[in-house]
Amino acid sequence: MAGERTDRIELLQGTLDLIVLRALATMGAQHAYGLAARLEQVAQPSLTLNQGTLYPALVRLEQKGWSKGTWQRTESHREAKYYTITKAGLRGLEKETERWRRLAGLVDKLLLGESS
Amino acid sequence: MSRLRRFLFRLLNVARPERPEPELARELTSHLTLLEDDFRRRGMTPEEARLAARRAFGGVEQTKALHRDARSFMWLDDARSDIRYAFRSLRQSPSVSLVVVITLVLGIGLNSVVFSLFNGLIFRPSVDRDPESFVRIYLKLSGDWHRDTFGNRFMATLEDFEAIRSRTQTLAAVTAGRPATFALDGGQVSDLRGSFVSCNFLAANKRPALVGRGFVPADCSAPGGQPVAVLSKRGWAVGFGSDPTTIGRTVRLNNQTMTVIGVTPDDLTGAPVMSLVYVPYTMQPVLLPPGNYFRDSPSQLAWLDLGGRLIPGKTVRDAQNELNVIMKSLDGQHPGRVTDVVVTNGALIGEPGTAAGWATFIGLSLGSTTLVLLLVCANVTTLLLARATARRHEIAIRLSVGASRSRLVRQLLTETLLLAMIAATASIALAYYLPPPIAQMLTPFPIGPVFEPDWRVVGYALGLALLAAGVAGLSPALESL
Repeated sequence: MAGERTDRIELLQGTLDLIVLRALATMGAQHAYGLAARLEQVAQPSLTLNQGTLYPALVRLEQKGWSKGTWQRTESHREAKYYTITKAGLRGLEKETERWRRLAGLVDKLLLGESS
Repeated sequence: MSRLRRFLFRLLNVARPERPEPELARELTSHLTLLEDDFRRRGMTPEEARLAARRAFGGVEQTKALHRDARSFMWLDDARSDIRYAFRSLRQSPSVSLVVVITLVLGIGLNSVVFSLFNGLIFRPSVDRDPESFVRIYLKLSGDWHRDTFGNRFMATLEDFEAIRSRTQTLAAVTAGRPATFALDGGQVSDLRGSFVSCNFLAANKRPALVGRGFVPADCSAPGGQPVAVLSKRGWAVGFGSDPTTIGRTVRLNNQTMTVIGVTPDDLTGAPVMSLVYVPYTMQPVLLPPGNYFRDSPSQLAWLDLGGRLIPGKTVRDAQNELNVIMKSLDGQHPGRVTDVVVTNGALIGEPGTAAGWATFIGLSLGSTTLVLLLVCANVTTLLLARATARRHEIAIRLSVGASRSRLVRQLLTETLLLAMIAATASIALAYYLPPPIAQMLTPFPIGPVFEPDWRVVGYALGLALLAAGVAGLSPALESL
């Protein structure tokens, strides 16, 4: 059902969007495959990614105006849609990173408090 | 900002769901090609690389679905296609649809009309001009004290009226009124329903006079002193054929000669029944003998309905608290008397001591019309069941091409809901046109325009339509799977 599907995305949403945004910020323009390859490379073996799951995150970022896609040629002369981070995206990245840090810090603190 | 932007984009994509598809397909193809290239570089045959790329990517169709979910509001999109489909299938069996709608209009319409009657007569104040500031004042007497009442038991004496009028800080105007029927000579009818009113009554409750003038304080200066009358627009038409020469002329009311000084609009002033003629309440000794209440029994005879207008910013509750204090101090002059003041917004349902009676009355009426609605739903269910059986084939096909059962139930319910909504629209129209003539049949007195359906009537009709769609539609929908 649609409801369950949405729930699962919602769980991933915050983190996946942040990760993609961060990758765009550090690597410059990237197509979806490049992003997926990069994430797999960095995160292996803790994260196995169905590459298709990146697309919802890419839509969300584009709709928020945080990234922009344009069609270009790859080095191997294949066409691909390249995503770049926008100025609003950089601001968003800063804000979201800060929020993530706060949340992670809070969870850490709570977990530490529990164990001692 | 970014959230709003995304919301708008999603909404836009509900409006044009297919538009981004080609671009997405192109992007996915490119993605798969790049993956394939990679695998081939690692030494796979083209065929192996193609399969490996598909595996690494995951489902293409699932990705498209996820993309749709993220870029649009899928439930809205689904609902839209359900509604479109529902319209189509209604057109496919127009006679069944028509019969269902007519049957539902009987049920929902009957309920809505009855509810609208209650709503107009009981639930909301019958006040046209600025209903927010209008108040009704009821005096509830108890204790060891006797007084005479000429009218209903919550009326005020002249002394009560004077005390409240002179001391209030929460009411911009305190008005007194008393319904009466006057015998008329020299008009087109033999009597006119009307009111004795305080001389601020028209100014407080109605728009300015249409012809001539309304009452001024001087008209109430001396008991029996000012034989003047103001006609309502309706009274002018009913009694005098809207003859312009009526104004300034004398007419005979209750065998007394009165001068018509003006015509006032038909605005309702707290009761659904309209007054056709108004006279100053100070004319009681002449027009309503025997006796002179002003001289004989200012504190003994209760004969006036009190109302008023709140000062902006004051509430009904403020006024009630204040008037209770005023009346308590007046009670001090009448040992044994205890007066409770109840101030309402003018709706009849707020009248003290009547709530239980109204509840029974309304419960019985709406209860029986609700039973009718249930019978109607049973009939509609039968009709829909018959149609559901006829559609087994179509539904089997939809199931086999991958529609989920819940999706199909939603779709079939949407069809019933659409029928119910059409019926609700017709019912709201009935609730608009039927109550005035019905209410007019219940009383010989002219009923004012109190029946424009408001949010309550519309909400009630839509609520019933939802209920009916659920009751009548669920079992056929489940049955057809």
